[in-house]
Amino acid sequence: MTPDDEKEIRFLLRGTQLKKPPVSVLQDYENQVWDRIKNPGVSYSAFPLAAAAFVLALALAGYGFWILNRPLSEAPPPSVLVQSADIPQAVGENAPEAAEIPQAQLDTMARDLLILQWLGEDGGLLEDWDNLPLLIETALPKAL
Amino acid sequence: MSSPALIELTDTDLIQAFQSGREEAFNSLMARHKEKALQLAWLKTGHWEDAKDISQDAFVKAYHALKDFRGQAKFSTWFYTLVMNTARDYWRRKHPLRWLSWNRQEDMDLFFETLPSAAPRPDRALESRETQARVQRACAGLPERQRLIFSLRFFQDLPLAEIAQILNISEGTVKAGLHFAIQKFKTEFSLPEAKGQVRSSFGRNCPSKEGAK
Repeated sequence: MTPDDEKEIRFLLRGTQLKKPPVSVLQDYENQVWDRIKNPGVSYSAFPLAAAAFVLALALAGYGFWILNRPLSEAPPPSVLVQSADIPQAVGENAPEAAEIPQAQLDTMARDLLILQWLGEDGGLLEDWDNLPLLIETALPKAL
Repeated sequence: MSSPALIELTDTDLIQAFQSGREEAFNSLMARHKEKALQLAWLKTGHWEDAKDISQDAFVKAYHALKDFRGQAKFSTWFYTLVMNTARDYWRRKHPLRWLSWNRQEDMDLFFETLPSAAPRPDRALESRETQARVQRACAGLPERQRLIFSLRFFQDLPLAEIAQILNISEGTVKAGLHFAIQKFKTEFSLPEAKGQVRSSFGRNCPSKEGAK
């Protein structure tokens, strides 16, 4: 970012401003603050519902951690290729010949990656976790 | 209401008056900072009623904390930090699963408006409207954190250090965020380069380096 960048942006924004609060929002504003000061405890009317949703979010985060740690902490089973040869072939002539990762497992990994990305979005629970980008990078090749 | 004498005082003087028992000084602080506080909270939530709830809650917290305020930071910086922290807590409580559906373009378009005083000459009205639409789109395309940094920098004219404090991130993160925001803004704006203009990916409406304010 250079000073010229800033100048150019400011020039382009010269006719634009953040929206002003509507009059209805500003009306009686100070008196309402004083009411809150004199009558503490009245806030966040939607909290009970939100609290339940937040618990759900925490559970999701926990699930994300669990998924995240599982492939990193466990070595892949050495017999995967041998086992895959024993997978019953699908009916018909188009059954895969070589060992492949089952589609269900691929779907699971893709979903796990998506959850991690959600949690790491701006404002997400894992947003400021330093190891998130590294873990997503680690998980990405597995999901592809 | 604030008395005329109080309105002329600085924030520091108002805080001292409040700390010495003049509660009406707090009214002056509210009158002075409520609009920006509302805008800040609104940038975070996109809803005026939520923003009102958040900013009022921040004022309540400030009321109780001001008794111990020693002026280590500017009041505005301290208070806007309080607003952002309150907004973050509020939003996480009220919309814990918001990342599943947010950042919708139709919401973002509403964050900005054209200044009434910027009405162009009739012969340039169409061009101006197009430019405004591009600016709106480019601003709306920014991710939340970049939009906050971008707005605090260019609409509130805050220095980087103050933005860092308000958003509770490092100054380096602010610089990086602003850099990416500007790049993304340029990409979204992306007018074709015109002959004789400065370097720009911004196109024909860009001033020369000397001509810009």
